[in-house]
Amino acid sequence: MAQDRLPSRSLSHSEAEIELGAAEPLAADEADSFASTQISSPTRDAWRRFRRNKAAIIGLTVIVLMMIMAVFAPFMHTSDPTVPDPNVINGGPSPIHWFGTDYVGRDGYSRIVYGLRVPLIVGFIGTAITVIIGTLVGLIAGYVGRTIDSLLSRFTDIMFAFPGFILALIVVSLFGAAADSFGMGGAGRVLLLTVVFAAVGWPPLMRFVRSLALTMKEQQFVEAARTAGSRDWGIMRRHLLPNMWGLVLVQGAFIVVATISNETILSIFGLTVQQPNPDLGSMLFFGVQNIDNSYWQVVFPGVVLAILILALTFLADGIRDAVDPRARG
Amino acid sequence: MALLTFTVRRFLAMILILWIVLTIVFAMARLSPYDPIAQIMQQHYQVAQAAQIRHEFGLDQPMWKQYLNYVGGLLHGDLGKSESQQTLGQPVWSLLQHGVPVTMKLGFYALVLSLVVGLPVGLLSAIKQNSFVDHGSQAIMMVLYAVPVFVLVPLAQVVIGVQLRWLPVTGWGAPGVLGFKEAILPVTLYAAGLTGYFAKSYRSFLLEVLSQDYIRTARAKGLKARIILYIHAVKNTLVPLASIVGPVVAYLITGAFVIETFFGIPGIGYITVESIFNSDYSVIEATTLLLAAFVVLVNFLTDVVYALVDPRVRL
Repeated sequence: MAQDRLPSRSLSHSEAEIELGAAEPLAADEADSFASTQISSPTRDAWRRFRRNKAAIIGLTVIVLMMIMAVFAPFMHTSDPTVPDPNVINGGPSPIHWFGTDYVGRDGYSRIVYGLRVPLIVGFIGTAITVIIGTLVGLIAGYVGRTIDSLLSRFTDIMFAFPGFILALIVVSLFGAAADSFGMGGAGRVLLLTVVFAAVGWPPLMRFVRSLALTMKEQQFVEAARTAGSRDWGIMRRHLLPNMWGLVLVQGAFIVVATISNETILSIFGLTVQQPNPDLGSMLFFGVQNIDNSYWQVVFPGVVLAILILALTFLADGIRDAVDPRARG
Repeated sequence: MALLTFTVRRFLAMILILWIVLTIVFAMARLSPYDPIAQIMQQHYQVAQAAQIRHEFGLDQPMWKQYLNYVGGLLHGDLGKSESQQTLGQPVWSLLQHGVPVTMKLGFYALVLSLVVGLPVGLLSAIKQNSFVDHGSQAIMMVLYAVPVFVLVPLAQVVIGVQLRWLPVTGWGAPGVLGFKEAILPVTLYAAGLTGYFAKSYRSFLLEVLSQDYIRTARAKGLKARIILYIHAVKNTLVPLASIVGPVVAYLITGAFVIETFFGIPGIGYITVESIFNSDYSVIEATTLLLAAFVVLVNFLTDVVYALVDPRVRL
């Protein structure tokens, strides 16, 4: 245990290193053992707590691996995911088709590798945009207050009335076909999905950031900054944002989970990338149509989706426990 | 008195939000590049006939008049007319009306089941904090909560329904079939995620309340542990419970779509998904309005209940 070590001993140790000219930043696990001599910052503390959380590290590893698979799909697949092989319709798992084939004979494994792309793109890029919108609107509403606050808050109230999933459902069903017409290989549809989820995800985050900004702007460090002549924009950027980004990150991680879930449900209903382009949710849907005699069409995409979402949830929980240990459920 | 003004103000805000919601739905439907007439007629497209159908649907009128017709229709309970080939011109409500009680029944059963299981599990792990029981049950609940329903359902159908043949995977809600056996799988799987959510949340709510000063006071003055828990602590967990109504409602709505689609239960989720496959967008618009109205109503009721139990909110 790093904390049990006497401060004096580790202090002299690190001083000796500096004398020897080893002044470059300490490597990750060395930094851990010298925790007591490091200047602790909330970020560094959070990172240390995060590294100790096994479930979170496993989650992070799984997600990184899946991202690598999705990015390098052209090198990972065994056959073209969109080209059917009429000789092996509904074929079971075999050395050639590891995860079996689907109802027109397309390779299940290759479709999963390519199918990971859609949820990952929509989930991460959509959430990144929604987090930026939510943080900006919430920060401005909470810090500036008055008329601007009530305008932005009423607008958020209206957005709240729409369940995000339903709004995404209606927008994609009304505009999906149009998006397909100007995209190559379903890219238009993916863009539409990303924009839609970016547009529907931010209201809860806006309320959260607004309440943080409301309490923070009354505190002394903000008052001090204002007395010292900082402008409002500078205070928001240099004093409020650095103090809330950890909590925003936690919310963002949970939004990724929700976005990927909702994207998959839309894809089960046939609203995301159209056949023959691969997507995990639609694989699941077509697999269920054929449930009686080919279990592999359901089990493989289902298990991959379950692993993806479980990993994301563990990661999100880990980030929350690291950033805000008291919130641990 | 303050409660009455609060309720009236919230009610007016609810009406205003509903009006804005229906305006947004109307605008989206009209902005969409999709032409229902062309979809209905497909290769048999004839200009004269198209104009006639357009006239029947009122789509040849100026936009403001269409909007007034739309709002007027909604006030009379008219949700629009079906645009798909099979049910062309039928009122959307006649398609949806049989689905509403099915969906409500399904959601109600799932909600009750998850409350009955989730809250006691959460309570148990809170009072046995950090014990084997706590860690074990919380791990199970975490998995239930985290594994998405759209993965759980097909896997359960494969294993329980197809491989083992223990329970039927379809048939619930079909006319004449309201059997208990058909309901077990859909209701249990629907409730699974919510159960985990309730157990996790209730544990932290109860722990929060149990760490408060008045509980220590009650303990110090020698009250029985049982009385402290059930009278003093549990009562005060009801307020934070109201704060998770929003996520619960969102879960129930998406869950209804998934469960009904996979199990072929003819509720509004199933009908809406079918209408997506038939490009019947008026049904999707109507469902959006119905569900948004439901969410707004639940939010309104939650606010009122909140104000009832916690007077500080009324300000």
